Amino acid sequence: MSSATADTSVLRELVGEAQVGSRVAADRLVREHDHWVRSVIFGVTGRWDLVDDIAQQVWTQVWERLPSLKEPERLRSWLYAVARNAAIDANQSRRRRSAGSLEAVADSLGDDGRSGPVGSVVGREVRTMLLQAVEALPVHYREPFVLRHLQDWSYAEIGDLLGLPVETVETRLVRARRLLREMLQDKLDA
Amino acid sequence: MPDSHRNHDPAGRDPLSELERLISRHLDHEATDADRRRLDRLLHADPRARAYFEESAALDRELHQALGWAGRQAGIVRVRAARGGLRLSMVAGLGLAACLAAAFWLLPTSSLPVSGGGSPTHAGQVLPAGGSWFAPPPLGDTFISESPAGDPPHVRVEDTEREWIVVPGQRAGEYLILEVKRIRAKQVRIERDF
Repeated sequence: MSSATADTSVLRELVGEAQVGSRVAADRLVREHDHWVRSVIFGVTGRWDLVDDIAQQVWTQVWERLPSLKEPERLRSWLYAVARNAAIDANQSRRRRSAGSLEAVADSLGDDGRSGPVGSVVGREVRTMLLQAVEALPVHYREPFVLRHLQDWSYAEIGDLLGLPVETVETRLVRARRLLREMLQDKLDA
Repeated sequence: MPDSHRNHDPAGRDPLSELERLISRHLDHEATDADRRRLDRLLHADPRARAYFEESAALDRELHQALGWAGRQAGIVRVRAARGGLRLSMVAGLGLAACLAAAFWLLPTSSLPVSGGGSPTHAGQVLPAGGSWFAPPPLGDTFISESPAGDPPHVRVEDTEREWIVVPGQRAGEYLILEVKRIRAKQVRIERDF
């Protein structure tokens, strides 16, 4: 988050240009924010396979609503709210449709092909188990945990986005680790 | 966690132990010098604490790798692979910018598809089936399929792993196409007995 857009005046100018239709500004906004927007979606849903579709919905909503953003310096928190709400909505509609489990999705999409046939099966099983545990975390623990691991953000950076004190971020990360350990200890030992 | 390091408060809550906090700070690169000295003392004083630390670190590494894999599937570019490491977002950003610029240069905006309807529609400029977006366009029956009205607003390009974000442009009927960078691997299950 040490990018140029962290500077309020630059951000204000960039958003202003995007609001009046500058393609360059719009492109730059996407490039600078898409990765963490996707991490937020992943953090809220716990499902990597949903991220792409939800991210596209988010950016479409962003361009539709961007002209109504009155305080460009609040872009990050605004984007966060849009992404989080879209992820929550998608999660709810997914549950209503009873979509496939993470395991089924992992089976259908396969491995990354970096290991041999035997290794890939074992590795995929372990990975699926780990990701299922992450998905099983309460969302208020999963969100900072995913941001920490995927964005490599500091406690302060995570707290800034989520609107939480640093101490709360730390506590949630410690509790996330404790829960994950409790969920996975027996399975990994076996 | 070793019981000797778990603090229990009178209110019956389960406060986080000092050991857990220190380990978490260490794993998150948030430990101060004082934290590191304190953690070091705890680990030297109690072999169970050492074992707990090593197990926690190993589990965190496994989770980091699993999340990294999931993040790559989800098109999430890691901003900092490691402290002081290469800024991957800059590389990805430059690539994306180049793709975007080339797309606008090569494609007249009037040829960009607008979502709606349900059947495949020939675009003004055809896309290469299974080939590069930027290769010279063939004259075959390649097409962009439009999403049904109920689908999420996006366009999928046939016969390619690429996907695109389509957003409204400045003028009516004008759309921006943003490439979503992602790599998908396909696994084929081998069932025949060799």
